[in-house]
Parts: sequence; structure tokens; C-alpha cells
Amino acid sequence: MRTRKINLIIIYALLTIGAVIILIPLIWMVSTALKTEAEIGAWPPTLIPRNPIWTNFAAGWKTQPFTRMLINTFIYCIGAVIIGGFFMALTGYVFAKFKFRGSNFMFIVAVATMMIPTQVIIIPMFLMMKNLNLLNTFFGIILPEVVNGFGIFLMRQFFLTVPDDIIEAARLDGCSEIRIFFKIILPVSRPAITTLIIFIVLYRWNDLIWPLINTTSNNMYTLPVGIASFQGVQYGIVWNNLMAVSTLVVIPLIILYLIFQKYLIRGIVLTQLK
Amino acid sequence: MNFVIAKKPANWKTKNAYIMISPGMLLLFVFLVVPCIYALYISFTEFKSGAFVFVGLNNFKILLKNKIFWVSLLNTFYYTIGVIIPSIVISLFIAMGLNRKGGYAATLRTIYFLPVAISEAIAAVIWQSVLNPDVGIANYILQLLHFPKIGWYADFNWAMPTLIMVSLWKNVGYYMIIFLAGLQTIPQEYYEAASIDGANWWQSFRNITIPLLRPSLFFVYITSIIFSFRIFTWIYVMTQGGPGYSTMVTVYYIYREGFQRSHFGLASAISTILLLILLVLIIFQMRQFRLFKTEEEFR
Amino acid sequence: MRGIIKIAVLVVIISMVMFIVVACAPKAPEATTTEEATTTEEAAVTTEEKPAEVVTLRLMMFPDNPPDEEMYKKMIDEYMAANPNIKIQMENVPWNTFQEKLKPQVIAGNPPDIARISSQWGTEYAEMGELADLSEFIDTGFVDQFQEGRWVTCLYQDKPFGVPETSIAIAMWYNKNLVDKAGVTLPKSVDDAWTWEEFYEAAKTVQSKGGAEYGFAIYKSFFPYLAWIYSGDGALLKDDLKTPAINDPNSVDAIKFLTDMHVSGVAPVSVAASGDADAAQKIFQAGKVGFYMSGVWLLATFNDAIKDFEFAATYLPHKEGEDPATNASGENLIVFEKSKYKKEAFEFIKWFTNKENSDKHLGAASLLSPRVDTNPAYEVRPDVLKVFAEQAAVLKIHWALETHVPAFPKLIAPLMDNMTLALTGKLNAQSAADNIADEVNTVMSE
Repeated sequence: MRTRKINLIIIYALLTIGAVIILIPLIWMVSTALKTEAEIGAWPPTLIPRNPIWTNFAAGWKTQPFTRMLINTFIYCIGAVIIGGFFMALTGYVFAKFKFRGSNFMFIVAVATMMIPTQVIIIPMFLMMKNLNLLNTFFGIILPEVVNGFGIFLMRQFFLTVPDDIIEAARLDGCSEIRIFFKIILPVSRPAITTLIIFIVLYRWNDLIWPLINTTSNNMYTLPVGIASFQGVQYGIVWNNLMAVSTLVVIPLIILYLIFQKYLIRGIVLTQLK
Repeated sequence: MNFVIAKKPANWKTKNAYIMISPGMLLLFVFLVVPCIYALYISFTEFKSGAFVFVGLNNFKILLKNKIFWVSLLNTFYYTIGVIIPSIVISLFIAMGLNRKGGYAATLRTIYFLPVAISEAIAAVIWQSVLNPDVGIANYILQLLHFPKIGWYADFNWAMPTLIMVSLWKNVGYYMIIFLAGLQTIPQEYYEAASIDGANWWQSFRNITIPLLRPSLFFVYITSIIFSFRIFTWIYVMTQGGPGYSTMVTVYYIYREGFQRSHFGLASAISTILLLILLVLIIFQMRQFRLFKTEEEFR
Repeated sequence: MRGIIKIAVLVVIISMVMFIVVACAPKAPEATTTEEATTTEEAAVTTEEKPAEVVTLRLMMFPDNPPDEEMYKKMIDEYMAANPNIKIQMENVPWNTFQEKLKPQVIAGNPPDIARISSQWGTEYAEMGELADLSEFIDTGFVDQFQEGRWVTCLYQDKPFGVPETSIAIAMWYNKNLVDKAGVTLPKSVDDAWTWEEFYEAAKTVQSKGGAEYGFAIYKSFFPYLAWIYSGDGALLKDDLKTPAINDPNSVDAIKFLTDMHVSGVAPVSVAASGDADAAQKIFQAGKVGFYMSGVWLLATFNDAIKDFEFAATYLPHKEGEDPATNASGENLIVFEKSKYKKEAFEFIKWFTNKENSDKHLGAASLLSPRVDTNPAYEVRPDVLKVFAEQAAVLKIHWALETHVPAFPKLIAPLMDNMTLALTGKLNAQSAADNIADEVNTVMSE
């Protein structure tokens, strides 16, 4: 699309205004992290703190066992990526490349599950976890929604683009199905898998509900659960701690985004080509 | 894009298919479908004095007469339509605008993505402060610019638009990336050919961009519907369904009746109805998109 | 064929591995609240005479403020050191998610041994049969240590399921700078408190002469709303604790008066309409409110956060001719029926709430005591705490009883919905009260 220079300036101007609006709450977040409680509640509000207290980040982090929670969150993300990623990729592959009775129906069910609001299944899920003795365990938190319609849908769309002939050739060579998956399909699908991983991590890193409900001891908490405890309404929110830790918690995701943004776009492109 | 099943050669082993698909589908079934069935079962009971007691269709009868329930369905509709259309339109235009090389475009793209990286809960708490009608910086800035104060989430008329606004803030970056990817699959030659033929911007947009973006559009559409349920966190933090019932959506009503008032049976009944509505909508959507399949190719 | 077998084996192995990990998965391993293991062997008196059976008690609590949390950890460590065979696992759950966590646990049959709850939450669990009957562990005279208004909140059908631990009360915070500038005189004792009209005048003066944006703000919660209604001799329920009294003339009058204060601009409508329960607090901390009706738990926060003006507390107004009122409840420590160590749980609670420990704990945490012989050494703002304690003392038993009926949690939502509609002027007070009354009847007949 050819655009004249003046159009370009207008477009960029609008987008910059948009970016400023996007940034204001984020700037507020970081600036609140650096303030004293007194300055936060004072009027008129200041966007830039008078005396930024850079040690608030460390201080906020120390108020709770956040390092333990960080480790827990890592484990949940990795667990969800390994279990969910693998099975969703496999399932998506089968839906894309195999024809069998009930495949339509099963795929529609998988897609339909994407629309289930979490509130609907919280109590039954909790009861199930309790009956399976999975409460307060790593699996108990990873398993709900570990395989979900979104990932299956994404992977299926990608695998539809993989040409059939290489698979056929491998079959003719006597390769077993599972070996085909590991040796041929997976290497080709690196961008799509990366996309899937990023989506899973984005969801799990910030997920509050399942870790909140499924844990019964402080040492199994994840970062979002820990952050939520800054909001005990009884004594009001400790704003600088809350914002300080929230800022810290966002940084890994931003780094992940920056590193993988090339893969991300490539991954989504490939799922659309068919 | 073929939404339903692509054609496959007929001589592939189906037994393998079943085996390979079973762990994934099993996990899906056990941890997503079974709880729903369980929820369906609970809708015919109610939680009284510590035990689930069978009450038949009583919950559904209560819901029929319950004004708040019907209001919540309307509000859900209001919110979903109100958020999906701007979501798609705004993020598409941002993607088109930022689909360029250069450091500035890349910086802007990253900025638009930042809200996606923040958890809903934190984003809601931040916006709750920023939009506080009396001491928040949004109204402070408006005051400085000599505009009147806005009630935001504490105003009967502004509450729902406020929720739509903050949802857009949170998710536009996500959709933008999906559209960026989609835009990059469209060969530049099409646009060049079109402009040689004398097509203006709108014609190019309508006849090249939109049809070739159909897969992305569908993806964003589905994703935005899913994300529209995440409204729960915003409501929980900022409005609690109020003021009045202006932001009482069904998903929040389920939480309120179930968790705050221990009416688990009633909450499950609401969930069942909601799921049925969603199911009908999904089937309807799929029919719609199947129809468009044949218009796919343009040239 | 070989391919299929391989796949099947893989699937089976994965499932087995998962199952094994699940079965052996760690659950709640940490025993202490502090990271260092306490191995100090004090020759202190142990209350446990039994030999070395290790008793593990799971204690789920929310802290009122950071000093409160500190004291909890300290005192638990102290108790464990003195009782080596008892391990207490404390789980610190934020107040606003506490019920979200506790209720599913109780329903699933997996409750903690002890929970520190807001008193309103207890009777619902008692009605479900989930709370222990502690009568067998309680000696005569134990009950007399506690104020009656607080003790009744630990009873279900006259059987005790817990012990009162703290008291909280509602009174009137104020911005001293604005109030002094307006030249308003404050009541010197509870009996000297303003009437509604006098208070309205005072608030208006603070607005006009003191320069406050709002003369008065009220914490958005059933707590102060009911306190206001009590101050007009209204109530939610009648003495039978079943029939609604909320739509009786006294209650409706109270709602009307409060509405007038909002609609006229003396109190912020934005707070009444907001979903942010802390909205009024934020405006008060910004120095824009003259009088703020809220609870004693804010002391620690105000102490940290308010530096631009002086804050203090005074007494609540009441309707002319009526008694001064407040809404007082507090936190209770309750024991669950499914606990395997009810006796040990009660022993711990008894120790925790005895005079010495209570005074020490509540003194450091700036909280009021439910004990009759209360005398905590308050380190922070004893003047404020004195006012709150005096205000709490006017509590009438009926108020404590009605906010602790088992169905009370179910009544909060309709109460708050309709109060919001009334205070913002969207619905007249009588209709709003009638709506609440309807819901009360529905819930009571369930």
C-alpha cells in the first residue's frame, strides 16, 4: 500500500498518541513503585516521584517469599509447556493429518471448550482435585486446562500447512507414526511450537485463579497469588510494594517477548497459510 | 482457510490416530469437559446446610423470574458486542500502521504489547486508581485541561464503556500481533497491481486486505470472544457488578451467587444456561464461516 | 504393528509416571512460618503432658496489618518452642480471597484445623456442621473473660465453636487540619456525641469553611452502613432474627438521611457507586474529606501514609433521642469439626487469647481487644484507640446477633446493591429497603 508522506505523518501521530495513552498506567505503575506510601495518597498526584526510592523493588520483594513463588511459577510454566505443549501439538497434528470417525465431532468439542468461562468449572474442578488427591501439588495446578482448545486449534491450523508428501514418503520408508512425529513434524514446526509456548507462558505466568484455589500452604503459592496478598482489604493496599513486585514480575515476560517476537510472527503466519 | 476438516488421502491408518490423540483428548476431557458435566449435574441440586440436595428444576424456575439474571445476559451481550468490534477494528488499523520497518515502528509495537504482559489483576488495580473519580490521575489531567470530571467505573452510564475501554487497552497488542502476521502473508505485488489498475486505498483494503486476512480475522474474533470472559477480573476489582447492576454480567453473577452467597446449585444452573447459549452461538458461527470459505480466492 | 505398540507403551509410561508423581506429590511440607528451623530447647513450661506424638495443626489466617502478621509468626514460634510436639503450619491468606479459599476446602472436606476469620463468616460453617463443639474443653469461668457482645458471635445454638480474638469497631476519623480550620467543636465523649442534624451541620461547615471537598465520607461496606442504621434505632432484622426490620420506619429514616447527605454533595456519590471499597479511604488520605466513618483497622495504614495533615478519631453521631451506636465485631479463632486435634487446637487458642498474650499482640498491632480485662499497651496513637474502644462499648447484643446469623453472608449482596441504589439517589429509600426485606424473606425461607 503506497502511502504519501503526509498520510504517514498522520498515521504515526495517531499511533504515538495511542502509545502515550497505553503508557500512562504503566508509568503510573512504576512511579508508584518508587514512592513512599505518603506520596502515593497525597494530592495532587505526581506522575514522577519526588524522591524515587529505588530500594523499594528489593524491599517489596523481601516482604514475602517471592523467590520461592518465582520458582513455583517457573515450575508451573515449564510443566504446562512440556505436558500441554506436547499433547496439544500431537493432538493438533492428528486432527490435521488424519481422517477418522468422530474427528469432526472431537475437534468441535475441543474448540467449544475454549469458550468455557473459568467460573463455571471452579467448584467442580476443586472437588475433582480433592478427590484425586491433587490439592496443593504441582500437578494439581498444572492440569486444569493444560490441554485446551486454543492450543489444539492453533497447532492444527499450522499442521494443515505441512505438505503431505514428506509424511507419505516417511511412511513408505517404514517409519512408525510416532517417529514421524518426532523426527519430521516437530523439527519443521519450530515457529508454531514457539508460538504455542509463548501463549502458554503468557497465560500461566499471570494466572491467579487455579493457583489460588488449589493451594493450601504458602510455600506452593505462585507470584500472582503472592501479589494478591498485598491487597488484603482489611488494612488497605500497600501500594508501593504491590507495584514494585508487579513491575518486577512483568520483566521476564517482556524479555521473552523481545527475544521471541520474530518467531512469534513467523509462527502465526504459518498457521494462516492454509 | 478451511475451518473444518481438510481433505486427506483415504489410506492413512486410523488406529494410530486414535492412539495418538487419546492422551491429549483425555486430558481435555477430564479437566475441561467433566467439570462441565459435573456443573450440569449440580444445577439440579442446591447447597443447603452443608450438603447438596436434589431440587429438580427449581433453580431454573428461580432464574426465569430473576430480574438480575436477565439483566446480566443483556449486559454480557452489550459488553461482548461492544468490545469485539473495536477490538478487531482498532488493532487491525494499528497493525496496518505499524507494519513497517524501522526502529520507531518496532518501539511502538513493543509499547502496544506491554499491557498484554501484565496480569489482569494488576492491570485492574492500576486502572482502578488511575480512574478514581476523585483522586485518580485521569480526572486530574482532565481537570487540568478544563474538561469536566468523568465518573468512570463509578458512574451508571460510564461503567460499561469504561470496562470496554480498559479491555481494549489490555488486549489490543495481542490482536495487533496476530494481524501483523496476517498482513505479512499478503504479497506486496497485489497492492501494486491494484494501484496500477487505479484502485484507491479503500478499494485495495476491501478487495485485497480483508479477504486475505480472513484467517487472522477469524482467529482474532475467536480470541476476543474468549478474552471477553476475562472481564471477570476487571469487574471483581472495579465495579463488583455495579453501580446498580449496570456492569453485572453473567460470568460475575455466577461468581456472586456461587461463592459469595453459597448458592452453588443456582450458580451452576446459570453456568449451564450460559454454556448452552455459547454452544448455540458457536454452531451458528461455524455455519457462517463455512459459507465464506468459497469466496476465499481472489484474483 | 511395532509403531502402534511403541505409542501405546509411551502413553502407558507417561500415565504411570504422572500417576506415581501424583501419588507421592508433596503437600504442605513447610512446618514453620520462619525460614530458620527453631531448635531452641527452652525449659519453658509445656501445656502438653502427653509424650512425643507430633501434632500438626494447620492454621489459616489473614493479617489485619503488618504488625499483626509479625506478632502471629512470633507467637506461633514461641508456642512451638514451648510445646515441641506441636507443629503449627500457618498459612497467610489475604482477607479479600480468604473465603474463596476456605469455602471450597470446607466443602471438599479438607478444612484447616484452626482459622482466623472475620466473625461474620463463622455461623455459616457452623450451620453446615463443620465446626467443632468446644464445650468439652472449656472450663467454667473461661467465658466470663470475654465481652458478651463478642462471645455470642462464637456460638451456634449455644455451643461454642471458637474464641474471640480481636475486636473491631467503627467510629469517625477526621482530618484535624480541616476541622480546626472550620472551627467545628468535637464531642468529648460517647454520650456527648452529635445528633444527625448537628453532624450534618458540622460536615457542611468543614466543607464551606474548612475547604474540604467533601464534609463526610462513609466506608462502602455493610459494616458502617448498618452502624448508621443502628444509630437511628433501626436494624436489619427484628428480635426474632428472621423477620426483616430494614424496611421499618426507623431504618428507612436512617437510609434517607444518609442519602440526603450524599445527594446534596456533602458526601461523595462516587464512593457509594464505586466498586472500589477503598475509594473513600483514598480521598480521605488525599486530604479532601473532613469526616470519614470507618474502622479501627486503618490506624496502621494512616500512620504510614498520612503525612500532609493530622488525623484523629471522634465519636459517631446518632439520631436525636436515640442511643449512640456502632457496629462492632472482630476476628475469631475457630476450630473445625474435621480436625484431628481439637483439644490441642483449643489449647493453642486459649494460650493465644489469654490476657498476657492478647495484650502483647493487640498492643503491637493496634487492634482492640474482646476481653473484659483488656489493657493492651498501645504503642501507636493510644488516643485514637481509646475513642474506638469507647465507641465499641456501646454495642447492643442484638446488633452482634443479627450480623452473625448463619444466613448473613447471603444477605450482604442485596443489602449492598440496594444501599448503592438508594445512596446514589436512583431508588427511594423505602423501595430499596423493601427490596432488601424481600431478599431477607427469600433467604430465610431457604
